[in-house]
Amino acid sequence: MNRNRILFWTCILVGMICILSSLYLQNLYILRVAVFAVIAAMLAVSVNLLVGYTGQVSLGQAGFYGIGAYTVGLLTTQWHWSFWLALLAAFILTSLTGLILGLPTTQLKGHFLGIATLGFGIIVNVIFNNWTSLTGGPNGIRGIAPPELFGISLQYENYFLGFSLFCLMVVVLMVHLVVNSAIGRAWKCIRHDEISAQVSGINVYGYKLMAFSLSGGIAGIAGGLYAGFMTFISPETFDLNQSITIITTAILGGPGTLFGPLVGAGVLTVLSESLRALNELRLIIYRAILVTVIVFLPEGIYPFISKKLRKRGIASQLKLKDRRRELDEQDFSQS
Amino acid sequence: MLEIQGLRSGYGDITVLQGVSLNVNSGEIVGILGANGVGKTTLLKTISNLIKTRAGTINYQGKNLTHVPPSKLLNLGIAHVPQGRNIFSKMTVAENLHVGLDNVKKRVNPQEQLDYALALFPKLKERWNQLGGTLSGGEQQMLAIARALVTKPSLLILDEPSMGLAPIIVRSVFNAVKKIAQDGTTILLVEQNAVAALNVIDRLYVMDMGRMVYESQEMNDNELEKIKEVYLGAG
Repeated sequence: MNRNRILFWTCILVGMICILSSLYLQNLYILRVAVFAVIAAMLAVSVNLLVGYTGQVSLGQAGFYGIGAYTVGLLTTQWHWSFWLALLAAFILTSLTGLILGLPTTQLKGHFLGIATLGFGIIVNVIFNNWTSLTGGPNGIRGIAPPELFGISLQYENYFLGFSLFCLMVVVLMVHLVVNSAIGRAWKCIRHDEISAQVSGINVYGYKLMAFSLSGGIAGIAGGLYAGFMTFISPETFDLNQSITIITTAILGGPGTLFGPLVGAGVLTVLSESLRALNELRLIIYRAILVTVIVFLPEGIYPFISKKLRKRGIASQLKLKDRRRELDEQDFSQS
Repeated sequence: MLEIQGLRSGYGDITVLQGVSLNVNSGEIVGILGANGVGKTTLLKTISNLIKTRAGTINYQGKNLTHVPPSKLLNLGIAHVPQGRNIFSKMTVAENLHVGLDNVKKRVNPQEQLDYALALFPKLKERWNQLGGTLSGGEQQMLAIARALVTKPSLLILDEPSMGLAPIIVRSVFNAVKKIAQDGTTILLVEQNAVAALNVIDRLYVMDMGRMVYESQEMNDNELEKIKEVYLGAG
């Protein structure tokens, strides 16, 4: 318990240091990449709630991301709302969308759920492209005002990075609290065995809806941040590729862990930026590295590293099967 | 306590239960015996609404259960331990038991129930912080029963608790079942291991092809002879 508490405050401290040090970064290129990495991390955290903690697939996460971005974009440009109210609206609207999407789709399992969410993402993208009178169609929305905080405009990358890191920390903290409560325990049960979960008194349907709603809401906040940072949004950002990148980030980093998605976002960003000089070839190398990682570290990067750090832990995990056999043999020899 | 009339249910086009009737009185251990594939597990799953009822009624203390979702049954005092030790293998023993408690916190005193379950299965206390998957088969079954017990059920439904266990472990599980019944919990038990079950049950039904083919009165030597004829083929 005490060790956990120390770990918890260390993480908070590291987070604060990250936020403060973001003010001293000078390189504009690195700053922008860092902001995108933070947004990617938040998206990966959102999909991790479904893929990692509840065992649901979502291939339509870009739909929530886009709805969040367009909500902020439209409310600030057309109706002149403040960024903060618009961000709140984006969160609420995407949570509701998650809930409504969840109503029919949580009855589905496996591939069927994947297809249904994929359809959702595509429909949202088609709407962005074709509802020209509202969304501006393929031209997107221009001139979104960057947010202001206590009179300081966050259009400076340093401030925006600090702010988005702060948002990410709040989101991760929220996820940490939820997954360690009775709700998280119920999710874990649902992921392992739905029938056992039901007979243990868990309302499987309700808890899945909750996961969908929270996941959508977090992706919506990421969308709002993106709109505020870019000041320009267009449909192509929120397409199927984006959905797949989001889910890859989470799976690569380590689904079902708190820091896995963050590690995944960091690794993928560094990887794709460092390969930028190779032009088209970079896509091939990028995918090859992805495949290699997934083949050799199927649990994800973060669980692999944290297990290496706790070698004794891994040794005992490997012995689980042996120990069970031993116990069963004992039972038989007693009889 | 539990009255079932003309229950029919099944999977897809197949109707498994062809009109099952049964009743369980308060304080009894009622056994349902039968061979593989006659619908015993389907019956239990239909009672806890994991499978939809197609016809017939399930009455529990005067309340119709046919539309109560499975997750609400614990609050009515019905706990179902499914077949095959359905514990959460990647969660610790403590977590497994807390999952049971999470949903009935308003109704029971958690500490009291944990103490009761652990007194019944002291092995679980030794394994408290171990993952469920690292327990032996017998311990896993005990954990599954304990997870149901902490919810303080009035009716405990057990689906083949002896499955895949060594004979001595079967005996200790059944002794625990007997003890639970003595402490006032009514038990509905499905078993294939007739010999083990006959030692603890008060009354039994024999099931075949989705129907009850035999219903016993209180157990005595006379009854046992009849059961041998019907179920064990004149053993």
